[in-house]
Amino acid sequence: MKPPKVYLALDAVTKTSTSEEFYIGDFKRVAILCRRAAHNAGSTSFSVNTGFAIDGSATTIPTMTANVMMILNVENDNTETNITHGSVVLAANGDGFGWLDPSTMGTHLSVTATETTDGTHTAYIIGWED
Amino acid sequence: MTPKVTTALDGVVATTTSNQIYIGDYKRVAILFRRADNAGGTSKFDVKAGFATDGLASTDPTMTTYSMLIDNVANTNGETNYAHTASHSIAASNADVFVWMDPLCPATHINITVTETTDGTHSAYVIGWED
Repeated sequence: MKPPKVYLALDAVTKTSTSEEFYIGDFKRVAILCRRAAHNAGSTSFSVNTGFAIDGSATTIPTMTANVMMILNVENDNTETNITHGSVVLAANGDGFGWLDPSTMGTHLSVTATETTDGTHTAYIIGWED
Repeated sequence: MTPKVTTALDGVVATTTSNQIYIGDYKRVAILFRRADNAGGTSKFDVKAGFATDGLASTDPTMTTYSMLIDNVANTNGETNYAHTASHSIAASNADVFVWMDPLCPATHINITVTETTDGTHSAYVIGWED
C-alpha cells in the first residue's frame, strides 16, 4: 500500500476561512486533521465541503456543498452508530480529527474553519489511494 | 499476505508510553494487549493517533486520543454496530485482549500507553496488514 498523501488546506489562518478545493477522487480513505493554536477564550469549528467534477477532471472546480457525513473521533457502544456530523469543534489548543465516510465521498474537498473570538486555525487533508 | 508485527511495549513493569509507530502503509491494524504477573492489579492500555503532516514515516506527529478502536464485544442481533473505544483495561488476571482500528478511520502513527495499578507486566503489539 502506498503511503498517504498530505495536503495543507488551511495554514494558520486567523479568521473564518475556506480552503481551496482539493481533488480527492483518487483516494479511498480520507482523514482531516484540524489544529487550533493561540487559544484564549474562543473556539474553532472545522467543517468540510464536497463537490463533484461532472466532467471527471481533477482540474475542474465544482460547486461545493456542506458534507455532514464526517465521522467524528468519538467512542460509542454497540447500540450506537458512528457519529457523523458536519464539524470538528476545538475549544482549546490542540488537534482533533475526523474522517470522510468512504460511502459518502466526492471528487473534491474543501475545509472551512469558522472562528469564534480568537485562535489560529490549520487543517490538513490526508488521503490514501488504496 | 503476511502481517507485520511491531512490539510497542515489551514486558514493562511500570506506567509507560511506547514509541510512535508508523502505520500509514497499513489497510488493517490489530492491537494486542497482554497482562502477566498479575497479583490483583490492573493494566489500562490507551491508544493515541497522529498524522505526519510532511508525509514522512520518520516524523513524530502530535498525538491525540484515538476513540475509534473496535472493541471485541459480542452483539445481540438487536445490536448491529461496532463498539468503539479509546482504551482497554485488564484487571486482576493474566490475559490477552485485542482491539482493531476501524479501517474507516486511519492514521499515520499510533502510540500506546499502559497505566499500571499496583502490579503486573504489560506488553502491547501492533499487527498491520498492507493489503
